[in-house]
Parts: sequence; structure tokens; C-alpha cells
Amino acid sequence: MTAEAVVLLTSAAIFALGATGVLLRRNPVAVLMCVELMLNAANLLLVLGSHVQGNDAGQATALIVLVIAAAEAVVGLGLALVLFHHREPADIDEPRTVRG
Amino acid sequence: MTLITPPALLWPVSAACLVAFAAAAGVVIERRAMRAVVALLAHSLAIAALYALLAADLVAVGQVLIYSGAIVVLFLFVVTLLPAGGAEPFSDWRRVAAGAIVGLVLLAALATVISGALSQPALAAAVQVQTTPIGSVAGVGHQFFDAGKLLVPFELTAPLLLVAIIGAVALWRRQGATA
Repeated sequence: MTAEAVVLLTSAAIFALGATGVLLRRNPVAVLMCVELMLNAANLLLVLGSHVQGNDAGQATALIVLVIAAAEAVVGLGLALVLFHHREPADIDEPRTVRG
Repeated sequence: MTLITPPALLWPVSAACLVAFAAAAGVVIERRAMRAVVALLAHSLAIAALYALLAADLVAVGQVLIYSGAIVVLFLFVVTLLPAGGAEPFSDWRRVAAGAIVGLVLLAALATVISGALSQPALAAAVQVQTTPIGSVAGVGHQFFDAGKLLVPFELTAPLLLVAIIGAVALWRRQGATA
């Protein structure tokens, strides 16, 4: 088994783990962390592809994905804080309507 | 698949993969939010080590700075701000079953695709064409600015970050006005 195959399998396993966590967890902050896991797995795959192909484009794309992950975390954590402010403990199933 | 990474790097890569996976499992399983954030930190550092091993130095530095430095610290701040440290109601069996089923199906699908790709001779042949060393700052910058394909996405990240900041502030201000 080559190093590339190990990284490929790890990426797939982490992505599946993140998807499991998104459905499993009820804390909005934990759900966000699991989404970050999935983004990391996708990013790892981009960098691996760049390495295998000998092309820098994958790494450049990975940097853009990093920025998107940061923006997503900022907005998601803002929403989670508002949710926790309204009810405690916060449950991601509770809010059913969005106003405004 | 053709060997690109030197065989000596197989063990460091495997170790980093193991740490990344174990920490990811910790993030999913750990009920206390603070410990889950620390697991996320370990995960992101292991991923950064993998990037460095895969000759992606710039992305490795970005991962440490943006992910470990900014995002995980942001999560830490939010967890400390949460009342009762973000206590979480127990997941009922339906939720656990849904998570397990989706995780297993996704893993099976991905494993099928991967095993197909690994056994394909065409891919193995394509893999051998590695000419120039990659991962330099100049090379990645060339992809952004000279090659031109990624220029628009790169420029769009600036308004994206601005909108994210404004959105976060607006969320909190409106919430403060109604409370």
C-alpha cells in the first residue's frame, strides 16, 4: 500500500465520519465542527490530487476552500450563539421557523 | 498506483493519517464541547502535517494559521461563551441509527470508487508524469494570477469574508435588539 492510497482512504473515512457527526450531534457548535471535518477531508483530497498530478492548481483551490471554511465558521458560530441565547440547552431540531 | 512519495515517508504519512482519523472520531463522539474543540485542534494539526508531507508547504502553513490559529480558537471562544459549556441533550436511537447508516453507506460508496480508481492501469500511467516540483509559493501564486483560471474565485474570497463579518455582526445586533 502506497502513501497515496493511505491518504485517499483516510480522506474518505474522515468525510464519512463528519457526515455521521452532522446527523448524530444535537449541539449546533458540534454540528459545525463536523462540517469542518468534512471540509478538511475534501481539502486533503485536493492536495493529494495536486501531489499526484504534479500540478499546483489543487493546492491553490485548497487555499480558497480554507477561506470558505473560515467564512462558514464565522456565520455558523454566530447563528449557534443566537440559538443558545434563546434556549438552553440548544437543540438543532428546535428552531422550525425563521423570521425576517 | 505508482509510488511518488518516497517509501520512507509511508510511516510518517500513516501516523499522521491515524492521528487525523482518531482526532476526527473524538470530535464526533466527545459530548463535552471543550474536549471536542481540542480534538479538532489535534485533527487540524495532523492534517497540516499531512500537507507538509505531501509537498504542499504553503497549504500546510495556511492550515496552521487559518485553521488551528483562527477557526479553532474561534470555536474555543464560542464554547467558553456558551452557558453551561454548551450542554447537549442525548441523541435518541433514531438519530444514532440515521448517523450510522449514512456514515456506513457513504464509506461503502467511497471505498468502492477508491478501490476502482486504485486498480485502474490508466490512472497509474497518468500518475507517472510528474515533471516539476510543486508546492512553492511562486507556483501556487502562478495558479492564482498568471494562469488566470482561479483569479475570479480568488478575488471573490474578499467580498465573501466581508459579507461573513457583516452577517455575523448583524445577527448579533438584531438578536441584542429583540432580547
